[in-house]
Order: sequence, then structure tokens, then C-alpha cells
Amino acid sequence: MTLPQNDDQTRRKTELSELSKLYSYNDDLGIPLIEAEGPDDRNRAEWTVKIFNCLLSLRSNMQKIYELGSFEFMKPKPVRDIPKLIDTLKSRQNPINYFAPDPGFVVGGSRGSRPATISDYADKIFLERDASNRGIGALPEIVEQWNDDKTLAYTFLAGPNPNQLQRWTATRKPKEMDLTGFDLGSIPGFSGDTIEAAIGSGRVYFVDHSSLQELFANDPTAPAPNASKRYVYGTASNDWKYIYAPTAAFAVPKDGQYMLPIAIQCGIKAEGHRIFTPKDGYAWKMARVCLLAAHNNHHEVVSHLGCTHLLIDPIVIATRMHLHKNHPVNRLLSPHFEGTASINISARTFLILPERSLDRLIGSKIDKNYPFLKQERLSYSFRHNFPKVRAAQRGTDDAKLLPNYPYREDASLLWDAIGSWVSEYVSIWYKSEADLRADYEIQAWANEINDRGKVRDFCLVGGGVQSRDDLIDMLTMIIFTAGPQHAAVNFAQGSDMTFVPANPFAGYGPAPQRQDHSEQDFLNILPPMDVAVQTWTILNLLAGINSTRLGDYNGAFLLNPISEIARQKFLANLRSVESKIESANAVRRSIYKLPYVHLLPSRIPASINI
Amino acid sequence: MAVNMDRRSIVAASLLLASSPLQAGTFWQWLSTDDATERLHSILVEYLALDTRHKSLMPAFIKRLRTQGASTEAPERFHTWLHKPEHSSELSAYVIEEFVVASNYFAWKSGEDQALTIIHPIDNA
Repeated sequence: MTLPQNDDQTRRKTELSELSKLYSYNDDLGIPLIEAEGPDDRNRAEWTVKIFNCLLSLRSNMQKIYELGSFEFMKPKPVRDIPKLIDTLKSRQNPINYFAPDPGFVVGGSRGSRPATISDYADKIFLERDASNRGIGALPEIVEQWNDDKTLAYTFLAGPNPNQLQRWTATRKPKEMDLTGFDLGSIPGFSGDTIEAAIGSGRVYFVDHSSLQELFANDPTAPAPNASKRYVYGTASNDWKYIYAPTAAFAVPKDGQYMLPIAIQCGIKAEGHRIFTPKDGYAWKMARVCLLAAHNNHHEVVSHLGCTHLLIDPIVIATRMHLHKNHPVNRLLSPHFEGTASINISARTFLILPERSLDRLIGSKIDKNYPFLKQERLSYSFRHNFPKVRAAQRGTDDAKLLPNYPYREDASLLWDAIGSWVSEYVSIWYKSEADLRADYEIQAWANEINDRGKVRDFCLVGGGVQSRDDLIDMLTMIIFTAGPQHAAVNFAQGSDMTFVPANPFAGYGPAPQRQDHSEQDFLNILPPMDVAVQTWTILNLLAGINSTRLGDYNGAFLLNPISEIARQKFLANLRSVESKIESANAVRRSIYKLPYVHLLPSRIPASINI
Repeated sequence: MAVNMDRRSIVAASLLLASSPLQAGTFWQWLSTDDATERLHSILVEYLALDTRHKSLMPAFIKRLRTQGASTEAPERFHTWLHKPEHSSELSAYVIEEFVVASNYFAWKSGEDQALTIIHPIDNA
């Protein structure tokens, strides 16, 4: 391992040149993405075993759903088939098609595709009761808590999309929601409080998804501009799915240790949307569905796909093309890229196509999301999204004003641990700023990511890597995104989203317009059972594969004792973070009745590989 | 990968299975017999190109089946496989599916690992 200026430069340049011929960009989505896997991009066999192991559980559950007979699906029950199995083993391509294929719409049954009660979403879907044997598909804790408004608030503090909150101030407020004259004192938990006092003392927060208006299908045959038909195998269902453009406000009670939702507006004012509060019974519950559907659509398309998978993708390409295998930064980063190219190619060619998995789940049509994804990914500032910078810019960084914010707290601990490790590693390999300036590979690497990779603000003005501190920032953010950030947005899909009422991806009716809605209205806006089954399957697969581990570098530093000593310090720091989070979880459980486990270092993969 | 399916041998083996004393027993009891070891091994030889040396893996594989493999099937389905020859291919598929997750088969097949072994149960927490 050595810097290029200290190596056989001719040999190194020749080898890099040969390797870089294997890589090219795919621009189908308007985002620079890896076209095809190179020799270092293939998953290890261990990963494939985990996929197959998970899929065995998913098929078993699917078979039990069929055998229970509550619903009749378009497609027959998945069965064992030797020739198809052998083909799947040979190709390892899309094994989900063999083990747990999309069952299609519900076509029969006494109630069609609608649930009779909320418990149907658990009792008729979570049938793999022996799931503990394989660790896949168990009933999540949120099933007991989802209906509590405190849990709704917790979703925005520790859920699948946990960094979207902003503090409401005189200059930072939502585009569409106006709380002037809002009677905060009448909301349970806020007796004697006023909205003016709460905003003035920094206790009001909001999530603004009004920009999701651009995802509306505007289909002239649809009952509303935000509705679109659901299709499977070219067949349309009889009901419409809806996406919304809501805004929600939350507040922390005076001297409170928790946050509560206080208002939801399901769309823009110009379309006549009004504000609902927790006092509005089933209309409030319907508004919660609209809010979560939008929030979760944003989660999958922007926070998960756009800002983790597709952000790291061009960094993988640049690393393969510009950093020789002997480069210390290549050695540092390679374990953080294991399986990323492979899973991203699968996502692009399978998961996000029309009528495929994601299109089945989300409220908007998938092709409407492509320009939205492009816009959000290309405008995502690398440096403004360092977690502490982002929290400060959004006003969510003050623990006195917004206490018990699990994502913020745990992400901050991990950022510091990763930063210390990277800082020490960089100082081992770059003894001076001159060493960095002379490293033409790292300079080309940074410019490739910034320019051809279109990662906004990857380089400071002037380009390249300008100092060792600059490189430390870059590497810390890359590792944080590939590890903790992806873990946060990916694994919450299992704990928070497999039970559909807790976190729907779409609504199946118009947003509430009046206060006197019924329980049946609420049930009708929730996803139908075929969507719930498909949600269970897809999300248990995505959250069920936990491969590689943060801090494990596959023995890369065993021949370099100084780097290995630094890595051991990193592991010790991660153990310390683990115990701090465990302690914090006892407090979180006492307040919100739920822990936050997705940023426990022992559960964080090193790379994005699912 | 050996896929020279000899249908007659499968049917014959299944009939043997169906007419054996297993009829009265459960799948799990059957797994502790020499007959089970032979049958499982022959399936894996036929479809996954294992050889005679790999018969020594069968006790560990059967132990894995008893722990993790049990969860994916209803007991009555095992009964059907054992007693109805027309379902013998399902038994073969079950054995193959469980073997590829119970062993380092993929790593062995790709050359990542030199020796085929049974691995510890997967920790996916």
C-alpha cells in the first residue's frame, strides 16, 4: 500500500488504465450510474446464502397466506420446481421470481381485497410464526404502538425517513401551512399553551412534502389529479391509488421530553385542503395515512434510493477508475462498496421499473418519480448533508429544544467515531499537505466524482482535494452514507413498514375533507391486502439481508500494523457507541415505548449491498 | 452441475421410500435413518454435483435441517413427500434449497472456498 508518487508510476498508470476500460456510466435516469459490474463489484457467496435463506422464509409465509384462504390471488401459489430452481441457482439472478413471485391482485374472497379490520394486516399476513428460526418476518413491535400519536411523532424522529424535520421559525416555515390563530391549547398534551409561545420558544417543528405535488399523475380519467391506476402484469385493478402533498406540524410540550403531532394538512391550500388535528377522530387517522404515504414515497425515492444508493454509485466508479488497488484510500473504501454496484444495477433494471415492486407499493406512478429522483439526487449537496450541518441548517440540532431525537443522537456518535478513524488513517498515509497535493490519483478521483459523477459540492470551490482535512470530510461522509445512513433508511423498512397501517406507501382514496369520517372510511383509505402482502414480502427481503459489518475491512490492514492499530481503536469506539445507544434506548422506550436499533454499530453493514 | 435426471431412479427410490417402515414415522424420524442419509446424498449428487466424499457432510446437514429447515414447511407436507411418489421432486427441491443455505455451496462452487462444509446457522439480526 502506497501513494502513487512513491510507487512504480508507469506500471500503476497502465494497470489503472486497463481497469478503467471496464467501467462506464449509464445515464438512463439522467444520473451518472455504473453500467456494469467490474471484477471487484461482485457479492461474496455469503451474501447469496443470506438472500436464499431469507427467500425461503418469504416463500413459506406466502404459501401459508395462500393456504389460509382469506384471499384469492391472480397468480397460483409459488411451488417448488426443480428446473426453475436449478436455473435460479446457476444464474443467481432475481431469485425472488422463483421463491416469492408477485401474487398479483386479489381477485376473489368474501371481501375482495379490503381488510375487515386492522388486525387483518397482521393476522392474515404475518404467518411465519416460526420466523425466529431464520430471523425473518417476525411481527414487529410497532404493531402494538402504531395507533398512538406519540408513535407518529417517533416515526419522524426514529423512523425510516428520520431527517426531514425542520424547526418552525419566523423565517423558516412551511410553504402551505399557516398556523396563525391555531388553538394549540385545545390539543391534548398542550393545555394552557399557545402556538405563538411554542413557535417563539423553538418548540414547533414541521415536515413539508408539498413539493410532492409534482408527482401527481394528472390522469384525465382518474377521479382526482393525485390518483393513478394500479397495474400488475398489464392488468389494472378496480381501485385507484393516491399520492398526496401534505404538511405536518409537531410540537414539544413545555418542559416535555417528547414531541407530538398537532396538525396535518393533506395538500395545498389552493385545492381547498384544511388542517386536521388529533381531535378530529377518523378524519385525523385518514390525514395520518396521507402524511405517511407522502413521507414514505419520499423515503423510498429520495432518502433511500437517491441519497444513499445513487449517491455512492458514482463514487464507486471513480474509485475503481482512479485509485489503484495499492492506494490507501482504495483499501479504505473498497469494503464500503462491497455489493453496491450489483444491488444498484438490480434496482435500476428490476425494482424501479413500471409495474414492478416499487411501483406496486408507492402512491405515485414510478415513471413520474424519475425526474423527481434526478432533481433531488443532483441537487443534494454532499457537504450540506453532513449530519450535524444538516441538523443545524434545519434547526433540529438543539437537544434542549428537541430532546430525545434518536436518529440525530446516534448519527452524531457514529459520525464522530468514523471521523476519528478516518482522521487517523489519513494522517498515517499523508504526512504533510504536500503529500496530498502530489497524489495525482486522489485529485483525479475527487474531480471525477464532482464533475462526471455529478455529486454536488463534493469538491470545494477550486476542485480536487485541497487539504487533509478536506479529504477527511469527504471520506467520513462516504463511509457514513454507505454504512449508518443506509442502515437507518433501509432496516427501518422491516421494523416500521412491513405492518402496513403503521407506515403505508399510498392512500387508496381521497384525502379527508370533513371531520365526520367513519372507521370504514379509514379502512378504505388503507392499502388493499394484495399491496399489504407484497409490502411484507419486498420489505422483509430488503431489511432481511444484513451482510458485512462496519469496522470490518476483511484483513486489509493486517500487513500494516499502524493502520490496524487505528482500526482497533475504531472498533473500540464503535463498542462504546453501542453501549451509549443501548443506554439511550432504555430512555426512549420509557418515553416512546419503542427503541431505535438501526444505528447500533453491531447492526450496521459496512456497505450498501441490499 | 449434474442434471442428468434419471426419472426411473427417482421414482424407484420414492417407491422404496413409500413402502418402507417410514410410513408410520415422521419425516424427522426418517432423517435419523441410513436410508435418509443415502437419499439426501443422492439428490445432492444428482443436482449439485456433490461426490461420494461429501456423504460425510450429511449428519451435519441433517442436524441443520432439524433446526432451521423445519420452519419452512408444514409437517403434513413432509408426510406427503414421503408417501406419495409423485411428490418426490418436491422433496428433492426442498433438500437442494436447504443445502445451499446450510452449506458454503455458493462459495465452494465459485472457487471462493476449497472445501464444501456445513455452516453455522445464519445470524441475520
